[in-house]
Amino acid sequence: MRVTIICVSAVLFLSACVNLKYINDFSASAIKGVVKFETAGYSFTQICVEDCRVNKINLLDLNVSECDCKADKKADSVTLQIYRGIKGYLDGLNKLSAKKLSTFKIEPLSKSLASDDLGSLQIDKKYSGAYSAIAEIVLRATTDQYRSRKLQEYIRAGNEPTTILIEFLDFNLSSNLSGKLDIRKEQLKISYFNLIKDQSLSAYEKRRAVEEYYNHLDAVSIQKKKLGTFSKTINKIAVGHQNLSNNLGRMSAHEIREQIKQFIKDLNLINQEFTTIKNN
Amino acid sequence: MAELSSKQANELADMFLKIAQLTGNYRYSNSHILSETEDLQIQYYHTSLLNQAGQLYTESAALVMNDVEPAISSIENSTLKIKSSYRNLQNVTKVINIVDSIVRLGSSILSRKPLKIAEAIDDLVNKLE
Repeated sequence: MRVTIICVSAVLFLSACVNLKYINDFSASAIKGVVKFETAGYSFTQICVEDCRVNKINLLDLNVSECDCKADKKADSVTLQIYRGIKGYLDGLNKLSAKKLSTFKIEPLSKSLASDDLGSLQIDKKYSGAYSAIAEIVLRATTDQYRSRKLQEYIRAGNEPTTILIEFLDFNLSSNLSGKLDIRKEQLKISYFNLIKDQSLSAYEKRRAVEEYYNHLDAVSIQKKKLGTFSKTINKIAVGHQNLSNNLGRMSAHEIREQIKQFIKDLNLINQEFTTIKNN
Repeated sequence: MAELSSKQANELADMFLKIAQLTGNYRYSNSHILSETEDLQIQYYHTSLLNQAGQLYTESAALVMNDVEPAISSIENSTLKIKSSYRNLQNVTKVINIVDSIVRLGSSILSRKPLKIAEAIDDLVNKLE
């Protein structure tokens, strides 16, 4: 009977472990990708403040008044709220699937069972270790099964909102914020076109102005590339989550492993693109 | 008038930006034949169109809230459930440690060693805190 319990527990334990590991690997990679949002400095307010400053320079305006960026702050707060929703959910998946969550301190139990103080109830030291090992397998099997079942439930429930949130986070960054960067390019052209036309500037000053113009354009292009790369990252996460939601508990362990491996590989490649952009 | 959706505001912003770009290109290509007043007038239109496009992009980003509100509450609800499961599991670990202390308390009582009993009670109280 005891052997049967151990065997059943071990099988449940192994299958639950498989799911937990994949969910943990998936969420860890997804978090690594999504946090690029925090470090890349994508912000409507930042663009608003910079545009306001460019206008002041163009108008030779020394009035240090506040730039009106209320609407941009609101746009940022919406974008941030979407990001936090996605990040919080992925963090939750990662914590709940972590291996250490079902690591129990069985060793003291083993010492207690073997304690000399137990008198006639004392259990032989060589068996106390075995009892503890069994207890650990049963405990882990139970909790890992519970976690695996709960996580499958949460991933299925979380799939639709995750897809929607990623779609709109991408929309705000790739369409709206990127659009604002296109406007920045146009504004730069206006400023420098006017400078080039200015007959009071020397040929040298004009050349310096053109050089400055191209430097500014490069900076905008880098920002746009970063947005494009971030867009690829979050869309990959959306597809990865969809696959996880569709296939957990249905595909074989091998198939899921291959899928997650591919997901991590793809995200790493996109991450390399980020590094290349930074170094350029 | 019905409020714009985020997608509509974005499409309008794209259109304004395209018109602004065409206006700018016209100005750059024809600056040699434009009078100073005409040039200033076109530059004013160009800048105004760009500002309007910029405002529409910002507006669109804020309007996204209408599209994502149910998804945000749904994902927050899922996150709360995940956290609750996580806490439950942390409690399981805590319970195991407490049970272990109780086993030790039991063994101390059985051994009838007052000093050991006191130590085991202390240990149990610490685990419960």
